[in-house]
Amino acid sequence: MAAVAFVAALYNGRWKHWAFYSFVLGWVSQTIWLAREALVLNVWPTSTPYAWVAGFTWLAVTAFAVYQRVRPEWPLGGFLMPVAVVVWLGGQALPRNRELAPGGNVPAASLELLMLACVAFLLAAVFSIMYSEKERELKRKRVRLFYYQLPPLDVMDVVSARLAMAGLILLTLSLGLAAWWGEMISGQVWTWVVHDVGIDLVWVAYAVYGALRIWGWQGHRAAVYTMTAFLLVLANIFAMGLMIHGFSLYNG
Amino acid sequence: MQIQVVGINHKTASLKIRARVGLTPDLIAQAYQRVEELRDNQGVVILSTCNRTEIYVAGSVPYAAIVQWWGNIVGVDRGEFSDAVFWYADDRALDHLFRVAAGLDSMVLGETQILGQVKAAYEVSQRYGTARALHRLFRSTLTVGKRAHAETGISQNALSMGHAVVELARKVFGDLHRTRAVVIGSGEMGTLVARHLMGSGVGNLTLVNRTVPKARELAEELGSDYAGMEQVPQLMRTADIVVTATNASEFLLTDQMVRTAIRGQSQRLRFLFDLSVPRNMDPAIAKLGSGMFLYDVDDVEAVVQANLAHRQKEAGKVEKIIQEEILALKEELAASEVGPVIRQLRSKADAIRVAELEKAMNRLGNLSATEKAVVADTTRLILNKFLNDAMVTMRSWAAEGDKQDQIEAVRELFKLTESTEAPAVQVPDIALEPER
Repeated sequence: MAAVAFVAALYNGRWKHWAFYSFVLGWVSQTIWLAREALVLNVWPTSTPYAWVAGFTWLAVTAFAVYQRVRPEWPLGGFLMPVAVVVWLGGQALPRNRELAPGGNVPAASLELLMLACVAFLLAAVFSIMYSEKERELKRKRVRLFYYQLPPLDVMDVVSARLAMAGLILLTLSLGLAAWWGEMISGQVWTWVVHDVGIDLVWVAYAVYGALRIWGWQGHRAAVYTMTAFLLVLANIFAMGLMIHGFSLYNG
Repeated sequence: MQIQVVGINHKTASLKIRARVGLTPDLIAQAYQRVEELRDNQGVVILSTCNRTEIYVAGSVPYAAIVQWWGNIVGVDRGEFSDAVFWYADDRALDHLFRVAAGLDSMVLGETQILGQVKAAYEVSQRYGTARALHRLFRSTLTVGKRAHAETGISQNALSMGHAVVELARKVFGDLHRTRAVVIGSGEMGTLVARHLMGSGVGNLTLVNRTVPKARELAEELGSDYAGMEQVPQLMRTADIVVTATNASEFLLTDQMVRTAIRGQSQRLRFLFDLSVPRNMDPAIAKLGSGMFLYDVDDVEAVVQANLAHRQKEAGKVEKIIQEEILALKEELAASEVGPVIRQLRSKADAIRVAELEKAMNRLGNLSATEKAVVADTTRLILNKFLNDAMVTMRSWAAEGDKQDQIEAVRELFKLTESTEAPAVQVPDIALEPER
């Protein structure tokens, strides 16, 4: 409901109140549900792929709320909430009983850092979507909705890049922690297991993005890149979680 | 109390008439000094700008008297301009003033300058002590103006070519302080855009003209750089915003020239404005990079039109604010009229009660202090209960507004005058309890 209301609010400001109230209702419900899962059933967001995605969407929406406090004039909700809902709905198909880190082969902190990194990548992709929409209006020379509501192009470009770089740092920390832990318990820093390769590909994709930015990439190409890179993140979350044996790092 | 406005504006009068009967600051001063000529007025405020001259009058002053007075001030026979004069009273007058302050009645929809002019007009009238019964109206007017600009987008988005260029640039570059702009052409449009860019705080502006001294002259005035046409390719490399506004009949910026200038920087954001007719920039330039935006005169004009439509949409929200404030003001004005009547009625009734109580006390001389207090208290309770319904009804009139006739009827029925507000009879020295 909040996603629909946020999109409607882009077209008609009167929906803002509905968007806000439905957002608060949804966020509180999700928070209570997560707390119940963790405290009563001992299922933490780092326990199963299903719980991880639930935690990820909650964190993304919480990050949105914080962002909205800082920049209330930016209609981030109209772009982020639909993506968050799709990810959350997709998460319903993920395994609920399979452990993310069987036998504690990946530290919970690594999975939490990974979650934070993915939230940063999601926000970067959302700013890139916003960039693309505004750029499209300006290129077509038919100013309508986004011309009036979205921040300047260079601002969205820089915010997207900063978020992607923040995500890369968090992902690096997550992978480093997992590698250190893997060496501790199994003597292996690196394996050719598909999960490890998948998540490393994500790291490579964002590292290349960072290099390209330094090289002078910006604007349209950078926006398309971050959107595509986030699809790789989603592929990791869902393909690994659904088709392969759980979504995990260095589980051997 | 009636509130009325008599005036002319850009919709009702030609520039010639507006100039002839417009009130300059000196004439306004004269008018305020002669305000007593408007018999029975309870307040006068004059608003005079280049687009309007409006005289707001509180009180039952005939329309003809106001126009005659106005004609006398400006020394023009009223027959010469009375056809162009509009007159609104009561709700229409409030609505008109609120619309004026919000910029809905302006030539440029939603402009903010008029609010400052209304405020200034009110302050001048206060200086001369003529606003009197119009204080509340003008305080509400300033509130309407502020709310309209703060709560709606009525004053947002550019409606002129020069502003639109800056606005479009801001849609791409959030902070113009970090941008470099080049304006080619020092004609009317080039100068206008250059002024707007400097006013918006562009980081660096270079004026380019075939006749370098002309560019230098303008550059010195604006505090910008200047250059000759031969430096355009070099300037293009570092420029974020480029504007052409010349009479040249050929392309001053060809795609080849720009391609060479931006080599290796095709992704960098650049906004090019071709405000010349015929075009001075090859349309193919727009395809030279994903970060390249090229707008011609028609494109900028289309943005201006879209902005106008946007403001017109916002005008609906302003109308709502105006209706809210009219209701609030009417309640306030009605309350200010009902209040004295309520006080007068209570005062008169209490005076009678106290006088009759005193007589009764004289006849009942052997009552103890406690017994006297009980009797006094009883008479007050009877009075309060009797007046309660009347008070409630009159307070509801204040909330409803438009109850002038009923208020007058109450005054007439109970023979209430200003003097009845103060206690008519001295309160005797009786031990009375506080009013319940």
